[in-house]
Amino acid sequence: MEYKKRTRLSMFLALSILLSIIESFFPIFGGIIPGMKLGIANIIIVIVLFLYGRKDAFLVAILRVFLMGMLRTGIFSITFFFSLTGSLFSVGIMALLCKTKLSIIGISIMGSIFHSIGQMITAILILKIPNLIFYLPFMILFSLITGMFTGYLAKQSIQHIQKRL
Amino acid sequence: MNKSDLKLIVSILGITILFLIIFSMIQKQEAKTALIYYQNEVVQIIDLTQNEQRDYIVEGENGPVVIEVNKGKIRVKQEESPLHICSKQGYISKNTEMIVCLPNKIVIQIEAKNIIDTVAR
Repeated sequence: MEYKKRTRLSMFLALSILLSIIESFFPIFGGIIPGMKLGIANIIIVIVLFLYGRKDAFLVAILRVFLMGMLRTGIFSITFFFSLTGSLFSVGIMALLCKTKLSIIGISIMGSIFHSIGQMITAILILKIPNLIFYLPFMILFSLITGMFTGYLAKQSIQHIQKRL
Repeated sequence: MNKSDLKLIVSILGITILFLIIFSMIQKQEAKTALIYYQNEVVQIIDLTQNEQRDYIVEGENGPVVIEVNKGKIRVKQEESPLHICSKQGYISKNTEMIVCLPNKIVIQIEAKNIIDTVAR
């Protein structure tokens, strides 16, 4: 069974990279506040977290960041560190909360918000612009909406996948 | 969605609205100075209370960046970058607002300070 799980996880990883690449073609919200995006790749992380557990979710999230860095942004560039801290914050809080009473949607919201918070902290530390903190409330409100959206999609996907596993 | 999700959403909304109120109080202060940074160094200080209308040209990472000041508002008019995020952002005019142009390593930031305080610092 081990190889089956490994194959499935690598397919989820490939899917999350695909979603990240597709998303990078459509900077829909970049006009309102720079750096905003839907975060649809997070759907995959949520799915893995609920189907396989914390360890595998961390693994997929970190591998995704490194592979995205190699494929598109360049490894160890500024953008790479932004997504690394963002992802770690997001998976971290989701792993902490996944055993609480919150549903998938609530956990996805928290993941999305902590992704913004992680990126904000990196931005403040690397770029040395403390005033960026004033964008945080807007980022959090936006994350609330995108988190609900991705959480809903993840919930639907999990229901469908579980039937076929 | 269950009850604890709703509680979570309501508390997040409450906290962000509280922060927005505090931040908007900071933004209301009158004195306004725009600071233009290149690689974290201040390269230009502009007094936005002067109501003047002129263009400033700052050297960025990919060439000159044209910054337009228009009646207390400031924006990036022209710049060389892949996505043109900062020129699409348009005008900013309130305290603590900022424009970040990462490819050019240029940051424009409005602070609630007198131009004299800023220069003295």
